[in-house]
Amino acid sequence: MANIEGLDHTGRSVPDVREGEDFYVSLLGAKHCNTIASATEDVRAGRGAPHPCNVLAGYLFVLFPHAKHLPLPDALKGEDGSRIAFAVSRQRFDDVVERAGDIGLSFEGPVTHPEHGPFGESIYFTDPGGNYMEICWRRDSDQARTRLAWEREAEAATA
Amino acid sequence: METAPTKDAGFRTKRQMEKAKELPSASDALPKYGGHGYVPTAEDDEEPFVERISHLVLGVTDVDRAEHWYNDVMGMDVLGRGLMADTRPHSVMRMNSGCLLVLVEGKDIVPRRPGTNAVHHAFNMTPNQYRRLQEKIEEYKIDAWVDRAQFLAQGEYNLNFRDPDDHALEVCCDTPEASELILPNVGILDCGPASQYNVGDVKLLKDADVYLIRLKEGFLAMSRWCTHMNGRIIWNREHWRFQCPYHHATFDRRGNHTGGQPDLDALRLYSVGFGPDGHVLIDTSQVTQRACFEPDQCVQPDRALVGAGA
Ligand code: FES
Repeated sequence: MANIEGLDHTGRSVPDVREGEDFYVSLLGAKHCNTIASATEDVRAGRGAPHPCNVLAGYLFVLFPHAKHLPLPDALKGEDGSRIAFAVSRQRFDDVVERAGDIGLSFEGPVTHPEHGPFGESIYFTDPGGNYMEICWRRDSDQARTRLAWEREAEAATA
Repeated sequence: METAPTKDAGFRTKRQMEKAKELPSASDALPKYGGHGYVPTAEDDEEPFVERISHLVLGVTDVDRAEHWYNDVMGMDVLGRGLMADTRPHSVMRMNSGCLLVLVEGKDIVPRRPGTNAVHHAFNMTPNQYRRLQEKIEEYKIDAWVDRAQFLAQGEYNLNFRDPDDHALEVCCDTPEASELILPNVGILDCGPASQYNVGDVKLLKDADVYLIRLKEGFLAMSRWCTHMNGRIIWNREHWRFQCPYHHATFDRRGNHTGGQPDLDALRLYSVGFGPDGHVLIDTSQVTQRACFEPDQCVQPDRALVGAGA
């Protein structure tokens, strides 16, 4: 048993928050949840700007505007400094890859991972800020446990 | 022993540093929500393109050092090495929800591209895990602060710090206190003559954290504690709304939830009565939860009593 529950949210930087939000909401199907204008000391002190929050598969993304324009990285797969990955079921993976092509997402892969590891296959792409992203299926999906209290309550209510 | 870089610790205020030392009460309660208190809705599950968060990959300069740090400080289990289709040395680490962290060794790691300082990765912990992390932060002499020092609801804890490769990390912990009913318990509050309140008035009784509102249907006494996670709401007269600065819930003058977070209950109520002298009296010993406003929740003063208090 680890001493940490899981990932909570991610703050990403994009050159244009509207374009960034469009990518997450229109293309990937995220839901806009709110725009925070004041909830950090940095914003209060004038070192930040309003940032929209979007939820993708129950996971919160906060999009911050870039301070300056940055060229996009020349690769779709990378982790320098970070890459965030979402999972789909093994059964849906091929459909999701096809749909990614249909919606015009440029991606690399699918790449097959070693059989002794937790990952099955992955595709890689970037958002408009050049942030690396991945969609995969997991060989260990049966081990992913429900850990948030609301999920437990919802499960108990439907049991 | 590793110490996280302190590059921008100079930006932090004393309050932000002090707040980082606060400890939640011991408990193994799971975090209620992820994502800064985001309340999920049924809509989230409709035709998902992707189904759930899986893992985070971080570039690191020394995979041994990073693996040790994420295991000892952050409390992650080591799953193994070389488990991903990547020829570079990498370690896969596991959290209780099944979320994974992959540390991939590279030569020149740029944790955040220039000008993208807001990029960060946040994790959630139970109160006991958070307490353990605090001990590690002390042991490793890590500079920690709270970005949202002024914006944490009751029972909500947050820490910001850097890993040995300068990746910006945040840890969130919402404790059971965030959903407990808070009672001011100051007995019966005498709010003065009913006749001094006009329809539309909103009065804050600060010491009791109660708002007294006069509507055309009568008086309502509402708790100031947000029904999301016990943030203290504020009456914003210009917008005719109560606003919660913590996660942006808004409520109207009847206490109905109007936005910010989905599907919250209306603000809680205290019972209102009137003294023989026509004064408005609020009983703070009991608070009532409600889904939404109903006109019969309001109490209309007796005309004769209002006259007596006028
Ligand atoms: S405490 Fe979260 S919106 Fe009020």
